[in-house]
Amino acid sequence: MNIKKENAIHNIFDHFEDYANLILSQLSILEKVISSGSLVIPEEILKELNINEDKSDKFEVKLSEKIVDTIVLQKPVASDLRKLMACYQIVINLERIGDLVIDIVKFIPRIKESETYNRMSEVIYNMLLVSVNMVQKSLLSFINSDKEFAIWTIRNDEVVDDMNHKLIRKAIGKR
Amino acid sequence: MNENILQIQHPVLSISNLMIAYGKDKSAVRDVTADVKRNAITAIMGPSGCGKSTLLRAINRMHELYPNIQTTGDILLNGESIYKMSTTRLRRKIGMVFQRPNPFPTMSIYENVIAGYDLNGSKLKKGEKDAIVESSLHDVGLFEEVKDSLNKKGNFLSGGQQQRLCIARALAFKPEVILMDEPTSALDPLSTAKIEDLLVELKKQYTIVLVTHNMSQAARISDNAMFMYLGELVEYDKTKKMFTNPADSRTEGYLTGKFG
Repeated sequence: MNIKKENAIHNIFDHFEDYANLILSQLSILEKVISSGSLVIPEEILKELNINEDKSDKFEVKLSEKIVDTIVLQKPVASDLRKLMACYQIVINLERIGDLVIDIVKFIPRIKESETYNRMSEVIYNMLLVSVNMVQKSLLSFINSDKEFAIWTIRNDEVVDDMNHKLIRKAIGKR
Repeated sequence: MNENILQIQHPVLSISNLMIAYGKDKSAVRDVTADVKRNAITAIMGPSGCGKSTLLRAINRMHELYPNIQTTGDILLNGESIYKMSTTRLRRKIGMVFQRPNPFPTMSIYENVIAGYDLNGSKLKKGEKDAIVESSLHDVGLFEEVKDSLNKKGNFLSGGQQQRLCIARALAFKPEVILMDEPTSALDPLSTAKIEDLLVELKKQYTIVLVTHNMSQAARISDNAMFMYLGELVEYDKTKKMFTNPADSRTEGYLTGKFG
């Protein structure tokens, strides 16, 4: 492989890891917010989340561009091309996860019935924990080509689905 | 002014309204105006017969070796017209490497590198010659491979090594610009990759203008790219821009293999 191609691909995966860490830190902040059970989000936490969300949007654009440029200019071999395309799709999904974190945080102060929220917060928190774990393990499975983590993630999708159904039944049952 | 032409500040080469014809009817280069950026690799691409090699050779006036050549326009090297310099002085400042490796068959590796000085009658001390040979061979990554065989003729070297020897020969004069006319088209893929890596390294010290019919090579290693068609400079831009978003449909057609 030539030096320029090697460096271009390395550069993409280095940036990808930085992006992955950024999104995981957003999820970690969200965990703290949900676990507190409070419907009031401290100003400094909101500020940090918004700053990171801006960075996330820029990361997505920059990484997507780098991937396209590398494919066009460096013509990577099939195995590298598959990894780059997977990276491209993961980057798009990471950006969506970042958006969802902000959406959830914006939604919390709008919850009027704190009693209802408190009753369901444990299930919500557990769903969040499993989901964050899934994001972590899926990223690690990609970065390290770890099949075990990939299988774990796929299996735990059902766990989160069950929790979701439970939550919906609980909410409807109360009414 | 063609909007598809890259604007460069403080270029090392400035080509102005260059027109070259072989005799009255055969126009090879039509009104080309372009600046070449210092310490960068500029690729000249285009289908066969588009004038890219003629343009390249015009930069160090090698095209004048052809009979009935007519040239108008100007080329400036660091602001000085190449037509006001002697060809000897010009070709020390602008070296050339050709498609087929062509080390001088009767000379040793050492003599090949220093050939330019010897053939021009330059009087150098042994120590100076040794330093030039060692430095030039180091620059092309060949010194360690041939240091024990400097007095042997170069015909035992592989194609890729011979081409690197030719590059070393061009570097011996510490030129400002190196012109390369399809330097890897006669080489195997491994040698090609080594030469490409070498060029990416060399551009830190030299300006490289490279004619290639290999679009992937141009995409891989060049910083800026020119697309020529029927003697005309159709588009000249940063390589990344040209390959991801060509401005001219002819450029896009060539890059996507519709013609050429």
